[in-house]
Amino acid sequence: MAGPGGRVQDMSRDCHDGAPQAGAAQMDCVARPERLAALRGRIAALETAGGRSVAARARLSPRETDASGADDALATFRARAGLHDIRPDSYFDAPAAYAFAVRWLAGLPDDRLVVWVRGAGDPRLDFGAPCPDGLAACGLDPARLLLVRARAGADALWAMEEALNAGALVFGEAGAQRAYDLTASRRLQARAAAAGSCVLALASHDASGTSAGLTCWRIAAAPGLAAPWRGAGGLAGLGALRVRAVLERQRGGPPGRFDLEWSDHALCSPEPAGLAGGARPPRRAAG
Amino acid sequence: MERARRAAPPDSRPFALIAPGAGGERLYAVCPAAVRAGLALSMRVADARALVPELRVRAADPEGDRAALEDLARWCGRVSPWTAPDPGAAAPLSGVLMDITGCARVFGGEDRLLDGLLRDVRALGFTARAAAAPTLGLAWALARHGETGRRGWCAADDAHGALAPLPVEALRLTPEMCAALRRFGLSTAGALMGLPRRALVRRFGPELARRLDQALGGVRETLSPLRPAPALRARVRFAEPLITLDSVGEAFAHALTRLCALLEREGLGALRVRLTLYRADGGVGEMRLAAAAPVRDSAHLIRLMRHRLERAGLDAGFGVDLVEAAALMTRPLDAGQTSLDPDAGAERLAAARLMDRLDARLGAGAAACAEAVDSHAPERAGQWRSGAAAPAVWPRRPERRPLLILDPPEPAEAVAEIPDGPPRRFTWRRVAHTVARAEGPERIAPEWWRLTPGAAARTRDYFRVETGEGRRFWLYREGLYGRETRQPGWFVHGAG
Repeated sequence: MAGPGGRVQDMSRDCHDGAPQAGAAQMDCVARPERLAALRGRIAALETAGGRSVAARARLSPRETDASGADDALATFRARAGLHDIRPDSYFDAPAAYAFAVRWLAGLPDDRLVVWVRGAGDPRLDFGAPCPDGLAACGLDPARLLLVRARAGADALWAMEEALNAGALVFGEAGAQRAYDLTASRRLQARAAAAGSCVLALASHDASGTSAGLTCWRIAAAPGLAAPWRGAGGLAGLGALRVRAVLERQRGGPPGRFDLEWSDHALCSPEPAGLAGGARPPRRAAG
Repeated sequence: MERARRAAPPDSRPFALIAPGAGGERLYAVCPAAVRAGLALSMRVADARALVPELRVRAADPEGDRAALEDLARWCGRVSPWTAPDPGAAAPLSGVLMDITGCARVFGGEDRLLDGLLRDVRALGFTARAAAAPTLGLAWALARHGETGRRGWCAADDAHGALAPLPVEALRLTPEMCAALRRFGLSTAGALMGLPRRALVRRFGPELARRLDQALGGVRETLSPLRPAPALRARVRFAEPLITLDSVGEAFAHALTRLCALLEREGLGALRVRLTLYRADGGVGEMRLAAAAPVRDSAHLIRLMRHRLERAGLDAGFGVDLVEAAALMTRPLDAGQTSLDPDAGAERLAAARLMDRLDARLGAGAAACAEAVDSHAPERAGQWRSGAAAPAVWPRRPERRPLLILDPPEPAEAVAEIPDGPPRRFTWRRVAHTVARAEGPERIAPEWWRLTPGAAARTRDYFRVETGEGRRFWLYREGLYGRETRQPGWFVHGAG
């Protein structure tokens, strides 16, 4: 399922270290990482009873992913079964948020059915219907996808829950609707955790309100590097897609910021983000 | 007639329905009191009023009568799946034809079936007569002209003996032919049967011989049923009518369970299921369930039914005394053997079942799968088709497409450096974007073999662009400059 666009490169990361302060003084220096992991595990176990998410959360430290050398910065978040909220940073960043969500689903190791629940025609998320060939280019096999058109907000939420019950991965544009409140997000989170599945809820850029999701992301498009060939009209060609993902909130962990780049070409090696010209700070500060 | 009388306040005065006829309004139907007063069908209204000054009249409603007769025929579906309305030339001649072959056993014999049917029809407020006979023609004749006796119905086994004493009108002939026959002194069917066939055909034409043969069983006559008879059906009957929709749901669940047992016996799976409820007041309500893959899992069908029931707008009315589940469309579905790989096929099946549930609750066509079409037009190449199974393998195509496609493409104001170059700036949705990177063009010519005559066929040059903020769009310029148009327009067709 990896396809041409399955690789995620994490280039700059400025996550705060999430070590709890309490009890740190009593810790033995040698056993400190193990004890930290154990403590985190206990806290997570107190919070939720889902064994699967606990295991994932125990590994939730930026340094550990650095050490392991994993090329997928989102792997730790993706492994957590539950609800993840995604919001574009501004109106025109919505396509980038879609791209982020689709690549999130495409990067999951299992090839389960993916259910894409379209909203009830929210104008703030109206950038067209998914294009099967575009999905394939993102690494998501269109044959895996079921597109659901819901007329009302409640219908969209119902369809998302029903798809979770069937064990599918769900991407819903329901986040833009009024029916999507704390209660609805709690329900989705519980269903997803029970089904061991992942549900992504896309909200509009101006959506407010709280959510019971595990993580909350704010996505902005970022200028990518120029391709090493000439494009049209004297302009440079399009390089790899680059997205700035701000982890605004996560349950049991610190916020963070990721510059992500997906290299669509198998032979093209990703370069560090520091070379990217005109890096734009996100509109809302992290944390 | 009785529909109109039920609508009017009860009154003992003679009553008639009138319809426009030759030379003014004529009586279309008359009540028994009017018949006793000397009125007859197709009498002029002026003459009738001269005979019976207190006559009440109303305009006849043939369309309404026909619809009511169709409703009655549908209601008769509780007796047999093969029912058809039979609108006669005049109001008192209309009736419902039913094929009750093999149905009598269910009701404890033909006598009980006819007794119960007449009782129910009369309870609806109709005067009714019934007859059961080996042929449709004979049953028609007996029901209208036979000696029904006290019970209101008659049955015959011997076609010749039963038909002989009946008048010629019983043979479903035109009034003109009946009058001609009577002029020759042939007033009963028996008299016709005694005559040589050749002479009859020569004198009165083939229609008479055909009708006679139909009544006697010499020529096969089938009725075309109002609703196609389903292959398999299960019904649940209640002594006490069900009042609430919840209990109707339980009844449907019961019927579906039985239907699934039938399907399993036959080795079939249902694709379309029709659920019908028969109300005590003669009304009929129905809803349909659809499945993407053959199903005989009663739990799944019951779930679909509950989703549909909430939104189907069915009404229990004064009570439901019979529900029916019928499999309209079936496919062979063999009992599955447990596979060594439990996931193989199970996932596809789960997807089909999920599609069914989504369609049942959100309305048909809510869930769709991608469908690959061999076309260069981007909007045709990948489509979302509801009710179809997902393709096993998606074709790998070299063209680069955006993640999201706008349908229809939205116009944009763009500035390009050279006529066939990429845009440098464009305004779309009231925001100006500056292009920092661009690739293209990808030239896509219209599919001329699909164009409607007169429609403008313009070539499109597609560009993938990235703005200074890193946002990606998919634009095209419509029309080749100079060759197809002087003012090529720009459109945004996709994003992401």
